[in-house]
Amino acid sequence: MRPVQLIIQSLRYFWKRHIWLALGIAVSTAVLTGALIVGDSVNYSLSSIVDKRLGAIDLAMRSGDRYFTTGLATNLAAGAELSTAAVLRTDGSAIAAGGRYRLNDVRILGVDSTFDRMAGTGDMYGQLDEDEIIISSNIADRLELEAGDELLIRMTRASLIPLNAPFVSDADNIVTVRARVKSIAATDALGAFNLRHSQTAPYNIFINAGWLREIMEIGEKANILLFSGDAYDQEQVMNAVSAHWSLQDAGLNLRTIPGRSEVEIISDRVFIDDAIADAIMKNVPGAQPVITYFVNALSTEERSTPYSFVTGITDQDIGSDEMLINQWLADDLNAGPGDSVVVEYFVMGPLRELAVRSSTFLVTGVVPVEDGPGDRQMMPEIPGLSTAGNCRDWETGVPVDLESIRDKDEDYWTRYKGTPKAFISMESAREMWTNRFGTYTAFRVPSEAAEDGVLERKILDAINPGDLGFEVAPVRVEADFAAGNGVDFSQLFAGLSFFLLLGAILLSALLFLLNLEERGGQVATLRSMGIPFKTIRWMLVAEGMTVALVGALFGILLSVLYNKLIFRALNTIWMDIVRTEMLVVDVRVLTLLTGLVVSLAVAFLSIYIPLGRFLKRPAAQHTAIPGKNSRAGRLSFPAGLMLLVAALVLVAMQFMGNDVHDPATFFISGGLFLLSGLLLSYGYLVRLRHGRNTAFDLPRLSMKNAIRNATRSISILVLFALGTFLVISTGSNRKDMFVNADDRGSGTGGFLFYAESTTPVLQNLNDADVRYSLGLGDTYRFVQMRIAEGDDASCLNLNRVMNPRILATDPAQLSGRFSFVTSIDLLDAQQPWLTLDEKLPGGVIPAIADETVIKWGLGMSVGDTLFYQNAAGERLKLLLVGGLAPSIFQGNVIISEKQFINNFPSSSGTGVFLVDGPLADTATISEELNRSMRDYGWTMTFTGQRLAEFYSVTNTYLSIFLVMGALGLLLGTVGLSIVLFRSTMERRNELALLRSVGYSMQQIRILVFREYAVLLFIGILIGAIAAILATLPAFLSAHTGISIRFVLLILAILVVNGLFWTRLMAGIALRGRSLSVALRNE
Amino acid sequence: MLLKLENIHKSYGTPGEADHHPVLTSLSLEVSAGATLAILGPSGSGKSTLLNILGTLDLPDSGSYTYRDRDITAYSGDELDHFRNQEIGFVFQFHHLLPQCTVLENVLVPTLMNRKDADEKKAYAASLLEKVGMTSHVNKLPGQLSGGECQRVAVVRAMINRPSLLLADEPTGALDKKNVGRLTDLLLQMKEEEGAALVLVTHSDALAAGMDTVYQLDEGKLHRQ
Repeated sequence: MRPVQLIIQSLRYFWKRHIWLALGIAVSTAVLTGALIVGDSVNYSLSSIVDKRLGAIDLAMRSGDRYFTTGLATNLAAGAELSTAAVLRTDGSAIAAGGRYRLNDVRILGVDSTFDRMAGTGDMYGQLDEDEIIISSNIADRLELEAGDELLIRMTRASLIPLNAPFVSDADNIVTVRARVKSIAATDALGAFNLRHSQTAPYNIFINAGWLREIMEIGEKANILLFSGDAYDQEQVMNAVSAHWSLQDAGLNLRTIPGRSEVEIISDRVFIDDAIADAIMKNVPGAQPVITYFVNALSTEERSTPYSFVTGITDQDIGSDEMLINQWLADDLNAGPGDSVVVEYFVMGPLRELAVRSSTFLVTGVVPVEDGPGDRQMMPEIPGLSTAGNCRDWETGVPVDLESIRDKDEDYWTRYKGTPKAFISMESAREMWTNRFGTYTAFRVPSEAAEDGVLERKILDAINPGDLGFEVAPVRVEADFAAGNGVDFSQLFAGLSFFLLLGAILLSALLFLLNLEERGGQVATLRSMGIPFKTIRWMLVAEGMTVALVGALFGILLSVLYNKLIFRALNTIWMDIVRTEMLVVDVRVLTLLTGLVVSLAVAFLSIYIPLGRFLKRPAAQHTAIPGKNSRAGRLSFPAGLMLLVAALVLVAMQFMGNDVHDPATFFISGGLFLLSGLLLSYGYLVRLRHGRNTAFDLPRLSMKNAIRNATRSISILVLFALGTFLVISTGSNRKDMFVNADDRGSGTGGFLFYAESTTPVLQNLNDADVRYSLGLGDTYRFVQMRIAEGDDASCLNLNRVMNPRILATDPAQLSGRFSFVTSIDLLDAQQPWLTLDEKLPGGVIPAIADETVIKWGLGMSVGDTLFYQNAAGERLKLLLVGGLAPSIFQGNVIISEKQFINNFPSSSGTGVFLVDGPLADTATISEELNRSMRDYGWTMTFTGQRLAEFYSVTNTYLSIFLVMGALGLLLGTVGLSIVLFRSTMERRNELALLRSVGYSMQQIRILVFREYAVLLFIGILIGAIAAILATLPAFLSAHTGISIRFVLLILAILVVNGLFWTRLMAGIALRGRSLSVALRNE
Repeated sequence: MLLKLENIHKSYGTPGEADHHPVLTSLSLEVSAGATLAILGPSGSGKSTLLNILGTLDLPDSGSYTYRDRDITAYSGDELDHFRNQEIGFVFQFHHLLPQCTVLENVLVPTLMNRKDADEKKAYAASLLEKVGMTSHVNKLPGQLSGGECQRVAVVRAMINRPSLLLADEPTGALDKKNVGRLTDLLLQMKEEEGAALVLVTHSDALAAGMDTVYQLDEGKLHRQ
């Protein structure tokens, strides 16, 4: 006889008992390994998504709202041996089936054959003809499109001139084309092309680049440059761009001035950016700046000349309040030197709000129309104005009273076009007309200075592409980082499955202990034969670990199944937390091995620890509860009371603090409540067992029986208390975002709707005229927000985000709305939003974001700084001054509009809208806005619904937690059933004795049922009280929607479930026959 | 002299507390090799405690225990295990056979620690089982045997390592009359054939009468009858 033989015999003989142990270990292994596989799979999926959205792309150059020439891509490809692809991107909406289906936020990408190199698709994109498009598969699914179908696309006009630049018409900002779907781009053909770090595939429409440029009338321009190949890094590519770029890439053009020996530098953007202007003035000797402005009227007291150009010049000796007028104007106004002329002109606010300004000048001279200081080329190239054949065809961004235009004005336009009629000093012109897009409309340079490309070289040498907002990003490296450092689903699922895992481990330990206790006699026999402790321990551990190995191996198989179930849920009912259909299961051998080893280690501990304690005790003490004088018996009451006080203090502190409750404090106080409950119960049970002056009756006998085995009783108490605590507290934390949605302090800010437009809205929607023109009623108001593109930092994005999208608005409009949970001293306590307008040293800009975004999305805290690049290529530092309670702004960072415009001056229009109106008009407002703003690609949701969407993530996590908790409780119930059954079977003789002394079977059933019902009730009660007390502040808060009914329902389910199984197992264990056999044996 | 207990004290509970309960007080005992000895006494008198001390399953609070002139109380845990394995054979009121092992395997359980003479032990087990009339049951599980048969196997198991001291704690307590006689004969036969001393704890005067010496354990002390 060898020890191994004994182990084998034991395994064979006790196989039925071992099965339960193996199953317990299988469950813990499956849960643990399953969590690891989920993590691997999500990581793998995120990495795969990076490949799918970037193809062969390694770096990308974005140019903000600027456009470079496609020649830059060609030059770089030829000169720097870089594989490049120039893409022209705009956004829009797709409409199919005659308007039945509509999709907003669609990216329209003008591509050519170079894009095929990035996609690895041969000649798929290069073969696109005019009128043809390739669409991403998600568009095909959403709009039910197939190859050959037609699609209407409404696109934001790609304009070289910022859409909100002065005098630029805001008409025709949306371009509509009809195209035929040539094919559907699969995700592995770069159909999911996306430079943003997100697992959610954008809606992409690929269109022939040449055709798109033709539609947009922007010449050979593009706004995204893609690079493939990892031979160059970000800096090298930026240097290559600097070396190969041209004036046209900077939006500049040179033109000669007929009749003058001068060359003029002008900008595609009408006003020359300050960075370029500074560089020209510094590096081009003799460069004379010019400001030409379109004024409403030039008037004397008696006469007025409408709509003229006035130029600020430097080469004439004009005082700051003096003016030269040309002969035509002098004649028209009947004015001459010594007369005063009033210049009336518009200035444009951030949202095209027009304000009329006027300045008075003293005429100091009259100059000829031609051959004077002015010429027709001084008029800037403004679409709709400079190309108009006559004045009545003008399409300007300012209102023109065509009635005021006289025949003589038309004659002037026909003869001299926009030749300035008046000239003022550069100083005055700057003061009057400098705007956020620039100051100067041209620079004039002597022709000889421009010969042989010298001028061009001088300008280019002085300008860095980065100064104009051109930015090369190592998108592949960033994407890999974002994917690799995203949400850790291994930890997440291990955390979410914590109770299930704990339940399985506890159950395994309990089952092993039950097996041990049954074999206590064997241990004593072996000991009596002189078999050493260590040998007995080794044999029992070997036996247990063999069972554990079988269980763990089965658990590994189970984990793959469990994982498939989780992924099925993640791709369906739990999709809210992953937001992609591209999740694939990735089972790695190393992970399975890790799961196996860790599970076996856990199993070893759950076997070794109870075994060690079991073997060390004399047999008589194996099942006894400690005496009241034992340390555990003595200390449990005071320790429990101390913890209870600590927990009460924590809850009180939460009440005395602000309105929002720290989850960490919640867990600590909850845990303290739970622990104190368990300790107090334990102390009570010990006292009860040793109580002297109590009557002895059937209920008391039940209680005494219930506590005769400390380990079993406490295990059951812990399982049910923990399970109840987790299920109720989880359920209580589910958010109902439609509760208090109209509260200004809530996450909706009291706004009715949240809307986004695909095409920016350039106007102020609160302006009566604008509303009238758009057909909007007057019962609601807007808060409009500007956007600087960035990544989505909300919980909807699984990737690690560094630069969230920036939203900018007038902070005063948000005063008194939303709630702050964290702040730094800088945040004004009374008017926190107004802090956003503060000017901080070092150009630092105050910013506000949701605390959840700051903490989880960015991994930061208030007081930290976010870094961006502004339009001038400078480092933009956003200091997080406050964290909001969960709000509709989740995923974004908010700054003041003033600060935004300083840094992104040419940003055009607004893309995010908060609508405030009476709740009663909800339907009308919704219908009106969806109809009137449809062409802007208007997507509008109830603010409560938007919050609910964010909370669907949290709620889904909580649902998973709840499901896992419920499964854990199920395990607890299984444990209770097994313990009850086996304990009853062990005590059949004892119970048979009760029968023999006259107890009825019903009384015995009640006795056994009551024993376990008591433990069940105490466990559930402790868990429930702890959960409710710990979430009490949230229960009482006005901003949450916790349902007492839900809690009661959960409690009822737990109690009924527990009682059902207790009653059932008591009935089975006490079947008449088994007890009568016991009686005979007795 | 095989063993000698001198001035043994053993109590349970905490000294000075209400639960303190002395069991053995100044107990002394000498057992010669091959002697048979019965210890009588009422329930709770400490008979099993004394037997456990003799079998080194329990240690006295004070006093000395020498076995073949060796001080047993100075032994380490491992030495005690080895001593018990080699020198002591236990027979309990209940057979405590391992239900998962066959009759033969149960008998061989005490040989687990010494694999040197495995074949010899196996042959010896077979011969002992033959002596007690269990040859036809060697491959059966305990569950397939009667109570008397199980107890016979338990006696054989106690003898497998040729112990010098056989300790029996109410060995017939769970048996019917017919089996009581058979087991008593068996114990004495084994004792005779294997030369071991036999210390028997029993309530049964009839069983005690067959022993060389009979002691009464009363108030923690042994009184020779």
